[in-house]
Amino acid sequence: MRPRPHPWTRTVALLAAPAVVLSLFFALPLARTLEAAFPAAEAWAWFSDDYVQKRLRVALLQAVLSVALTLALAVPLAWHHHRRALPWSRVHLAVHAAPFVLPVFVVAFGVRGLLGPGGWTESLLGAPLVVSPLASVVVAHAYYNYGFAARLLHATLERRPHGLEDAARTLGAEARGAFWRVTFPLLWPGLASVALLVFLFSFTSFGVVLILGGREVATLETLLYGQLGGVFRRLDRAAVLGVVQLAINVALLLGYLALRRREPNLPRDPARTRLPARARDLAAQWGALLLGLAPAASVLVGAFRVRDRWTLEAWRAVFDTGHPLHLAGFDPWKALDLSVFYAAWSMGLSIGLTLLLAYGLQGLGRWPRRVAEAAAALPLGTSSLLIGFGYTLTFGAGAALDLRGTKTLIVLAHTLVAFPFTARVLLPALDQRDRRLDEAATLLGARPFDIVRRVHWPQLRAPLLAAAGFALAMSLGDFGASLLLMRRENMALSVWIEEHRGRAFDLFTQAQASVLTVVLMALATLAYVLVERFRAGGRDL
Amino acid sequence: MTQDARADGALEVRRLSYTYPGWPPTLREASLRIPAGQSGFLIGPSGSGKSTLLRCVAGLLPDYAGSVLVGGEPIDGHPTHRRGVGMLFQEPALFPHLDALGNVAFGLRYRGVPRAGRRDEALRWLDAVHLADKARSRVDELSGGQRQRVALARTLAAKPRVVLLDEPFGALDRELRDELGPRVKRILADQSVPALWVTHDREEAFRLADRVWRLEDGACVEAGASGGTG
Repeated sequence: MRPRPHPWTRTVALLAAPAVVLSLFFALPLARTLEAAFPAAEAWAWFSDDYVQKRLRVALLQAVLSVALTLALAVPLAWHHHRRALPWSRVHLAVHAAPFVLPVFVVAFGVRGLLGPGGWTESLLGAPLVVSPLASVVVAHAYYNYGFAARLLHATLERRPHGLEDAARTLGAEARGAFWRVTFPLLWPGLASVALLVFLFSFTSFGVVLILGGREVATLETLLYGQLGGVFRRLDRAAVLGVVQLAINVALLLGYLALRRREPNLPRDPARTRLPARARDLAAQWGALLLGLAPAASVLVGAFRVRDRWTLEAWRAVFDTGHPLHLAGFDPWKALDLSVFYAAWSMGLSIGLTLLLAYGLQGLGRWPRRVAEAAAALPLGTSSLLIGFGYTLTFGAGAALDLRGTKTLIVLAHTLVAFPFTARVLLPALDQRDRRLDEAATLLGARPFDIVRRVHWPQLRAPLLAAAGFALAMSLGDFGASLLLMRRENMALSVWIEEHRGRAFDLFTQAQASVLTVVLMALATLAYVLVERFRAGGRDL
Repeated sequence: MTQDARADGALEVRRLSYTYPGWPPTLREASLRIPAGQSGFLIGPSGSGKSTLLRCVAGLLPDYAGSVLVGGEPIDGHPTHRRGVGMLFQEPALFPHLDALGNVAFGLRYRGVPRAGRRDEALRWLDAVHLADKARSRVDELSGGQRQRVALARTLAAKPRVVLLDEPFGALDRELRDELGPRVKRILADQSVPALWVTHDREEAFRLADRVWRLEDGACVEAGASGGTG
């Protein structure tokens, strides 16, 4: 049934705020980036230079290797959970997917603490498993993405068309033939879209490459960041890198969306019986879980174990400002307070904007609604660092609206980072709700506000809370925009971790960085639990 | 009886039992026999085991006790794709990535029809169900009745020795069912294959069937031989 159109005035009023915020704090910074890039002939020449091109080839190589390793881990995991009746399957898959929303430090420190020099494997085997920066980056990307990819692949496999496979077998196809001629053609867009998404995340990775890539591995993002540091800032080169990055992101995102559109609408088959789990299947399930938890566990242990002994000294050094090894100028409670402040505000704003957009879009026809929804998804193709860079150009020195160093600018950046995620959860939820209930409530005498409160809210509660969890996790773990926009007086935990890491000349300061990472991990885990508790109908991004 | 069955290509189900793990037995020594060219109907309420019996015969549930014979030969050890059993499902189960022609041609490869001849043969079968003009249509462009006719053409093109029909018109409206039922029965009779239909519609069963069985407590109880119309 088509939605009843709102009066135009109401539609305009609802869409005004999202339109203003997205124009001013998303479109305008991007326009400023484009403006800075296109007259910069020297910067484009620099971009074509052998040095930059070689670094981009390495970026491409690490992304391809990251996809290969991610799929090598994710495909068997997804297949195992699809094929066998494993207890606690949903919880296990959620735990595997957790690194995707955890702060980048958990992934980077975890991989290094587990597999790198001085890590657990070196203690056990006598030599580290991962030494080179390229291998570290690839393994970290695989750890970051494998659980998320496994869950998407699992969802794809759960829609495996068993009825069609049966039909193929009654027509003479062997089980293998039925898979390759019926199942694979139907499921490959789903598999390919997962691979493309992992490529997108790995090719545009920032935090992992900054921490583990050393001088050997770079991405467009870390090159861009490099142009903004030091005495000679090259905004023109950074803008060129930003534009290239944006073009690639948008192209990959369009490819991803095109593949998703090719996925046939196959219903989940709840009646399908899985093969019973044997002892070795359970062992594999729990073994995989322990392996998945090991990097996070190594971060946790790293916060309590310094120079081969268990100690709380790193915690004292972090939280006791009078401690001789406490980082000068660092107030942990203020940093924690600011992290929660940014997360709370950006969560409220991103959800508020999404709700206004969702209700406003219902007053539009099908095509304007599609265009507006596509526009709302655009920030997904824009990295946090690029948003931060756009803000430094648009709201920096000499700008009409100088917001340098303000909390407002940071909240807005986090809002824009979270917005595509809240939109992906909330827009379909509001669009797909049963509109006959509104009509029934109206006939029973309910006014519009009562309908929202008594009819919509019970239906939207779960996706709303899931979106809130995503927004909180995105803000708490944000690194790119935060690194560019935060100043010493308003730095959140994630940037303070980077400050500690930058000074980690000895194991003790490294342990302090681990302490802060554990605190941030705990907060992000709480947000993730919220997402998992209320994830609407198993919807994944 | 086996001598007769071999002679007339009959489908024979002998004392077939099946139990889903963790549940009481669904089928208990169910037996029936349908000569070639005839339509036997199995009726019974939802959950009585009608579809389970069809899936056992097709080999989709291979762990049954008892025996299934086609033309007097037991096919119990054979995997589904070697049983020569065609099946029409309630949902037509057409492959959404293929058009109508591609669906009908799907099984020809396994019948050993050379690639060059598959298109013409598939077209002939589509013509037999009066859908030759829809050969290049995507399956989601076809109506419910057209989809079932494509599914029938696809099943028959594979030249099965037995055809099973699992409530094939269950999702269609009454008028269309009344029109399609006799037509499909006639086509099946022309192919001289035994057909086992499953339905919960008694009226339809007694109108079309040569024989009718009722599933009671997992066993087939003969409910009559109507001689069937169509």
